Amino acid sequence: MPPFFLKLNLVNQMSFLSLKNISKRFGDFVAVEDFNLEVDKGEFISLLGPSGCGKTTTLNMIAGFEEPTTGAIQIDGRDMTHVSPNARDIGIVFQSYALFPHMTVAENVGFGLEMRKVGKQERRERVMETLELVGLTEFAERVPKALSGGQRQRVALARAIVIRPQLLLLDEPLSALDAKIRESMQVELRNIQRTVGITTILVTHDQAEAMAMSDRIAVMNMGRMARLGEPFEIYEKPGDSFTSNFLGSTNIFDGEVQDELEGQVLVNCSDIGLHIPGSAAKGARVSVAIRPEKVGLVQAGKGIFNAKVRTRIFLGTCWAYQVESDLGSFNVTLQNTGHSVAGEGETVGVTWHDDAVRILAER
Amino acid sequence: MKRYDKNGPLALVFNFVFLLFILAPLVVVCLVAFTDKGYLSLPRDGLSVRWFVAILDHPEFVDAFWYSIYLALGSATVAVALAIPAAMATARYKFPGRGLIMAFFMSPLMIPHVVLGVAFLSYLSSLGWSGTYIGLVACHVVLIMPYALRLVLASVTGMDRSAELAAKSLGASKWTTFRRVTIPLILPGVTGGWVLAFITSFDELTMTLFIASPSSTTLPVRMYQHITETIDPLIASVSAVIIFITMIMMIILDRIFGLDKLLVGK
Repeated sequence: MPPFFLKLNLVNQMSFLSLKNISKRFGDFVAVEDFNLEVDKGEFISLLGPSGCGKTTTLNMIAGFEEPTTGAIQIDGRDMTHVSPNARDIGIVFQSYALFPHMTVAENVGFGLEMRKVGKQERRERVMETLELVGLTEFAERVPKALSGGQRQRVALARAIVIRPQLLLLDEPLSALDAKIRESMQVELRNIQRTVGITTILVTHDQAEAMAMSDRIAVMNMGRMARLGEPFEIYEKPGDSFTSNFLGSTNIFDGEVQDELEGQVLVNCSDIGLHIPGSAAKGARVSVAIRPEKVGLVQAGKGIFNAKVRTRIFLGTCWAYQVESDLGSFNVTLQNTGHSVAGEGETVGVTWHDDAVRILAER
Repeated sequence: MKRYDKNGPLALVFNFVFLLFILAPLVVVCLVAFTDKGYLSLPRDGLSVRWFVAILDHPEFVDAFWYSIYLALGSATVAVALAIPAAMATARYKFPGRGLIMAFFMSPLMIPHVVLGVAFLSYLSSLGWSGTYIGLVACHVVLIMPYALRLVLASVTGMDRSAELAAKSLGASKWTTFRRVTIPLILPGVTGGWVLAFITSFDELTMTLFIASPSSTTLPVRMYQHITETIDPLIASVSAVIIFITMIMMIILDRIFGLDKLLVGK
C-alpha cells in the first residue's frame, strides 16, 4: 500500500467527477449520507442498490435537479454544486426515455444542439452522425410513438450524447425493456460508451447489468456507500453481507473464531471446523459466506461434511440444489456437464476450496 | 377470439332511449325553427325558412351573437392563461394553503349563479365597470375558471416531468423548457379547458342577466328578453343556428384532437 499522501495526490490528479461528502435530506428523511466518489475520465461507474438506497437522488444531484444539503460536486476541477442543470453540460438518459412526443426523432436528437445555437447545417450533420452510431438513420423523420421501446431508448441515448457532454448519466435506462433486448442493449451501450469515450454514471438495481457494463461499481445501501470496486473484486470480496447478498445468491452461516493461524482462521460453525483465509480475533462471532456456484457435491463421507438433498431443480445450464446439513439449509449450483447427479433425498458430501469462503464484516 | 366489448340487446335499447332523451329537445327546436306559422309549432303544413330570414331583420340578435363570441373568446383565454400557472403550482408543489387555493378556484361551481349575479352587480358598479366588456370578462372568468382549471390540471398531473428535466439537461432555460416542452405536452388539456370555458361563457344566462347592460347584451340575455315579450319561432331559429355552429365546431375539434381525449384533458 502506498503512503497515504501519495494516494491522495494520485486521486486528485486523475479524478474527473468528484463527489465530496455529499448528503441529501428531505425533511427528516436522509436520502444520501456522507457520500464520496471519485470518477476518472472515460470511466464507466454504476451506482447499484435496492430502491430507496439513494442512488437516484445521487444521480439527480450530479445532474443538478437536486441540490445537496451538504458537500460539494466537482466536474473537471470546476465546482458544480450550485450550477443549474442547463449549464452543467451533462447528457442524461431517463428510465422513461423522456422523449419529446411532439417532435420527430431528428428534432429530439437535435434539441440540445439547437439550445447551443449550432447552425442548421451542422446540426443536421451531427444528428445524422449520432443516429448512425445508434443505428437509427432511417427513423429520423418518425415520431417517438412510432418506435419500439429499444428504439426509443436509442433515441434517448443519441439525444444525450450528440451534445458531446462531459458526463453521461444513465438512470435505469434498460429496465423498461424485455430481457433479450436488454442484454443486447447492454453490449451496445457499452460499445458506444467506449467509442465515444465518455465518462458515464449508470444507476441500476440490476446487479447483472452493473457487473456486465461497469469498470467499477459503487454498491449503495440506505443512503451510504457499502462497497466500491471492480465487478470481479467486489463479487469475490464483498466485505459485508449486504453487498454479498445483493451481488448474487450467498450462503451465510454464523460461527465463532477458534484459532488464528498464519493468514488463516479456524472458525467453528455448528461444530464443523472451517479453515478460512483472513484474520479475526479469537473468540469473535463472525458471519461466514460462500457462493452456491463454489460448492461441490461428492460422495457421502468424502466431503467436508455430509448433507441431505432436499430439492433439485434443473435449469438447463446448471442444477440448483437445496441441501440440508448441520450448518443449516444452503444452496448449491452445479454446472450441467451431461452426467446424472445426486437426486432428492440422497445423502451427499459437501466440499469446497478453503479460499472460496469469506468472512464478512459484522454490520 | 370472442369479442366481449359488444353491447347486449338490453344495453342497446337503454343507450337508444338515453340518446333520444338527450337529443329530442334539440331535434324539436330544430324542427320548430322551420315552421311557417307565426307561433311555436311543428312544421306540419310545410317547411319555411322565414324565421331564419327573420334573424337578419333583428340586428340586435346579430350584435348580441357577436358580443357573446367576443366575450367568450376573451373570458376563455384569460381563464386558461390563469389556469396554467395555477394548475402547475398546485400539481407540482406542496405549499401551505394549496388546498384552499384549489377550493377557491373551484368554488364558483358550488355558488348559485343568481347569488354570483347579485354580488357581481354591486361589485362592478362600485368599481365603475358595470356593463363594460372588461367587467363582464372578469365575471365570466371567475365563473368558467373551474372548467378551464380542471382540464388543465388533469393534463399537468398526467404529464411525464422527466421530459422537462431532459430539456433542461440539454441546455434549455426555464422559459424555453416551458414554451418548447411543457406547453406542447399539456396542449390537449389546455385546448379542452379553453373549449369548455368558451362554451360555458357563451351559454351563461343567469349571472349575465344581472350584469349586462343594453350596450353589452349577450345572446342568451337577448333571447331571454325577447321571449319575455313575445313567443315566436325566432327563438327556435336562433337556437337552431347555435346548434349548427356548435356542431361544426365539435366536428372540427374532433378531427384535430379527438373529442374524447380533449374533454378529459389527456
